[in-house]
Amino acid sequence: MTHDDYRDLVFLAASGEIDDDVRAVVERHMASCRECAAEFASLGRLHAAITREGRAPEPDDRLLAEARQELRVALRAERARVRPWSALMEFTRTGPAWRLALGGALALACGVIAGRTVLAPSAGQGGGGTPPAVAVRGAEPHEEETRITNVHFVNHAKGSGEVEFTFDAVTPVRMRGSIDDPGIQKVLTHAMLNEENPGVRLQAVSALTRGVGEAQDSDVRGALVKTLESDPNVGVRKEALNALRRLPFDPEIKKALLHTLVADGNSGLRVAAINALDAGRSGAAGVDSDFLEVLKQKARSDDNNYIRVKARAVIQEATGQ
Amino acid sequence: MMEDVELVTRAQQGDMLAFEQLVFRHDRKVLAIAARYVTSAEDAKDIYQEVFLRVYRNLNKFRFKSEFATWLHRIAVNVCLTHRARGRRTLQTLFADARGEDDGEPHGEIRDPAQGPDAVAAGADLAGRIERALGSLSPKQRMVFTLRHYEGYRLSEIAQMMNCVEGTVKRYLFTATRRMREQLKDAI
Repeated sequence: MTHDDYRDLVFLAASGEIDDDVRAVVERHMASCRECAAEFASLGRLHAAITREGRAPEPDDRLLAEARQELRVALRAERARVRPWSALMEFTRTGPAWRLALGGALALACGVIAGRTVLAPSAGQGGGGTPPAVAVRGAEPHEEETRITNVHFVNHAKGSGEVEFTFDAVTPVRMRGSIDDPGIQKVLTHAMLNEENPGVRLQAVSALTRGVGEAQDSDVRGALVKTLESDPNVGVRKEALNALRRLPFDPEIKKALLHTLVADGNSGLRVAAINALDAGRSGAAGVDSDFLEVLKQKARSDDNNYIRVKARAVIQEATGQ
Repeated sequence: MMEDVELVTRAQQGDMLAFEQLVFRHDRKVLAIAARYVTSAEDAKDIYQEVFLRVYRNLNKFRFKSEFATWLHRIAVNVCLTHRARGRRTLQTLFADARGEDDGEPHGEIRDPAQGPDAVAAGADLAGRIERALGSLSPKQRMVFTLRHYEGYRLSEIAQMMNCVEGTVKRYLFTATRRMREQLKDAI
């Protein structure tokens, strides 16, 4: 092997990219080659300095929370932008021939719905306004008349007798049932996470709060945690925190409360979070190192006086210091 | 806890909760890659958002031929490499644009024109010098260097993420290391 070959291996060895047996060969070479030994030492110093002084810190929780909030808004806009027709076109375009046939059938179904709606003799029964209240046994959804919106002409060649357009087919669905029903919970969970209107998200959380119990579905529980961590509206986050307080204190809820205590900009929510954590620790959870670390940080630097005092008190009780 | 495969499958069927679980499971790493590649928090958030929007738009094309995380990180790397800093385009990306292709060669000593004498003096510490040295690397060199030294990826993994052969990644790392050492030689 030439000296240049060894230099390459020295570089890879310093970068931690060679196996132990090759490394042993390189080390034997370096024992007799001062130049390669110096190169290896120099690379080692460079890597140590870069690791120690360079861009080391993990992104903090606040930055992550901000990024998540902004992503959620962007995703809502994205979902609003993508039309069902586009999805259908994509479905048929990218798949095998049977998809084309199915796509055609779906398009035909859309046409039938449109025809029923637009050409219905008594437009007053379903063409606008609120759909009639329908009591539904259990939590079965009841579909109302489909409405056609956002008609967009793609091509209208005069004289050809053909026209091409896209539209959104919107179907209002009314549900009634127990808040304990999984179907109801699934819809409300979706609304809690995805509705544009904060009032609707708040109502969804409130409704789910009333249904929260020992056997809370893990999807609902996860959605409440996410809402607490990243909903842009403080009222919605507060309601989610209240809902979580009614559940058995566990590591997932503790983590969410710690996140709120560390990263939430609203002092009222941080107060609620530290109170909930304090209540939780008196159970089996206790005060572990994560909690203690946050408490110390809060005792030192939170801009809310109550939180600083409370943090000191909890530290004192937990550690006797 | 649900596996990625199941969450992806559910997300592909339109389950937004599953999609969010995927995001929350992997997004810290994506933000870390972005934050170490660019210097501003706003740019890091822009990259983060673009990555997950691309994932959302293309999830139905994911065919489970690789781990979801590998696919996600490949998108993150691509978004980083094509990212234009908010407010202004960086000198090095303009250099890369002018040549049409990033050839992996160093771009010479490129200093931020906004840095006056005071700023240079204030940033004379080692961390500041490392930061400036990183800024002088080409986008691909910087990406390989940060993925190797800050994220701990192997060269083979980086090659997969950057969609190139391992030898190319090795060349980027070698050139980046040489360049970094030149710029930091009197400090370490």
